[in-house]
Amino acid sequence: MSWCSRDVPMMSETVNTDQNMPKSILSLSDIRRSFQIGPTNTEILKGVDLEVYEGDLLSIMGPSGSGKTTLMNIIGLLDQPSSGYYVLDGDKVSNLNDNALSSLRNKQIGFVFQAFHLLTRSSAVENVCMPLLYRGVRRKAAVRSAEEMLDKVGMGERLRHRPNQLSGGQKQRVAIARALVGSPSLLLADEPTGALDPNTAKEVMSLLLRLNDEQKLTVMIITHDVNIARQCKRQVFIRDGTLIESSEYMNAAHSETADRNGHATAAIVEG
Amino acid sequence: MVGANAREAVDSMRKARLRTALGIIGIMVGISSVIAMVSVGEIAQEQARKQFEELGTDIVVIRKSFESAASVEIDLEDAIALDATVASIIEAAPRILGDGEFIHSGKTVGNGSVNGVTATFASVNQLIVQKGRFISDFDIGRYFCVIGADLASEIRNNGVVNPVGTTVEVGGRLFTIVGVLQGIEENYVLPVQIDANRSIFIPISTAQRVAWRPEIEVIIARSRTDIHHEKVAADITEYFRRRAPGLQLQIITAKELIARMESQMNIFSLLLGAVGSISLIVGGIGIMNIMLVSVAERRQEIAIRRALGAQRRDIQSQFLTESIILTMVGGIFGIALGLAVTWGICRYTNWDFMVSVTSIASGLGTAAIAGLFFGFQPAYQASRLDPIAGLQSE
Ligand SMILES: Nc1ncnc2c1ncn2[C@@H]1O[C@H](COP(=O)(O)OP(=O)(O)OP(=O)(O)O)[C@@H](O)[C@H]1O
Ligand SMILES: [Mg+2]
Repeated sequence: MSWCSRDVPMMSETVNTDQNMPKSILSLSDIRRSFQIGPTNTEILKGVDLEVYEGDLLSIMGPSGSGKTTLMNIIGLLDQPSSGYYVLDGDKVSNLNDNALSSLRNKQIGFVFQAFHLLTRSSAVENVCMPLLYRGVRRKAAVRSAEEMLDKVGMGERLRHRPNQLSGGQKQRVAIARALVGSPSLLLADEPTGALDPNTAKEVMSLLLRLNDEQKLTVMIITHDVNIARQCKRQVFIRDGTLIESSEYMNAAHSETADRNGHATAAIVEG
Repeated sequence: MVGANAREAVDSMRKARLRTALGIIGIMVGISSVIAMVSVGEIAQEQARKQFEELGTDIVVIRKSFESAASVEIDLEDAIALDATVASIIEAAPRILGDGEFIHSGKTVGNGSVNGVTATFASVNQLIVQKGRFISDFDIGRYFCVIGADLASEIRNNGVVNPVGTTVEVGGRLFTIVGVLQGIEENYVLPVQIDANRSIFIPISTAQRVAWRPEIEVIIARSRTDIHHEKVAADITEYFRRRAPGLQLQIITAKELIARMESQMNIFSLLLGAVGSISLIVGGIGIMNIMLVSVAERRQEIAIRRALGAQRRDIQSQFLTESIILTMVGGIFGIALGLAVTWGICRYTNWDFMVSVTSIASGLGTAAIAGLFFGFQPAYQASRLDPIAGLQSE
């Protein structure tokens, strides 16, 4: 079974015509991104194809510098590809202006970062309110939703705490609440457990699993941790600027004698 | 959303107290110097106007001009007839000026000017007789004199209880004292000095006979206040043109002086305002720097906000609001400080303190404009920051 093949139709309307198929959240086709580093133009993403459906739980792995964050920035509408097609929840997002991208990002995307990226001077509730305020929700209503969301992620007792009064796991819960408060269609997590100790990491991961399971939340997790990847429904790898789905990757790995990616991939192959 | 951005701005200012305080202080100093400078200028102007008003804004000083032919002089008859003939002149007081040493009972009691005057001189110059009488129109050619207050007290110091009726020797002639003047504060705004306290006044007809220079030195007159000062001057010129052809006059009216002074004062105020503005610009640049540093420091915050869906204009309005609030709060403190400084200066100089509404309005206005002006660049920069760079963890 292949989720990411170049033969997948680009437009989501076409995808959704089949009643048995789940709704497409994300469709990337031949996405390329290159950076000018000094005099040379280096292509980091060399034609990425990816189809993500509602309720997917997807891990992205790959060596450091392979372009995982770059891909997430493009998916999260923070960056634009040098070329390629990108359809997000039925909207073709290539060639949108900055305002349109910002408002689409506000409504469709929830970010969770390794470094939490909470506003350090603001309380948990104030942090979680933010996406709602930027879409024009009134303060009172935003606070109410934020409090509910914090309660859902188990932070109901620490609404007024500032980030420096919270542990790493608690900060990440606040960040998850903030990512989810605006009911995005896609949660993007860039190494969400990277800064956490193993036990806390496990808790945060099970929160994400639970949200995916109970709310059919679509989640993409960038990780270096095979245990985390293993808990995801789909595993995707970046190699040489393109994506390989786990099934394909295993085949590729078998056929390759020297695997430069080391332990992580070995573990996946074994698992 | 503007309201929400303003709230974000206020929030982040509350949370970064030091930064906020520094920005406010900078603007406060700037605005307070504008306020103080402009207010002091206005108060000084008001003070000068008051001095004129005490003296009377209807004073006209007439002199023979330097351009006039040496052979023509102001004629005493013409000078005396001036107020009766020219309708715009109420009273005219000519003077012949000499000086000398004053000797009383063999002792020198003073050294000052000898004013040959008519009876009108007292009323025109607001001289008040304390004892005896002033020179009268019936004293023609007589050796009478009225003495100033300082001179009188010097004579009393010599043991003479009442100087009136005694004689004083001036230039080898004896004058009988007929009156003593009250002390008077010398006024320096007029182009004629009287120095009444240390002078003696004699009949102008006597002065014509005894003075070394018997020409009329000056006519001090009062004009009707309802007639424009230029018309008054024209009337006087016309009067003397007919009576004394070839005589050129220099006519200075108090109103003209006031007008001239006011325009000078306005330049002075403008100058003070400009000095104040420089410190305001310095304060504004301070705000701009603080905001630029703040933008640089908060690259991550900005990036996070952008990742959460903030549009460029949200970021821009947040930072612009911050600058404007900073300058407005600084402006309000600055107005208070400026008024306090002005009050201090007024106490020190004995001027009457007053609150200048224009200076307050302009202070607040400039604060707001400074906030917009100096806040724009940082806000624009903030809105243009690349969110990806800001999100990279160090
Ligand atoms: N703005 C940029 N300008 C130049 N090069 C860039 C830029 N952003 C990313 N790169 C380069 O692109 C490559 C991929 O970076 P990216 O951050 O996507 O890697 P990653 O897979 O997320 O790595 P890691 O696992 O370490 O987070 C790197 O070589 C990086 O140097
Ligand atoms: Mg990365």
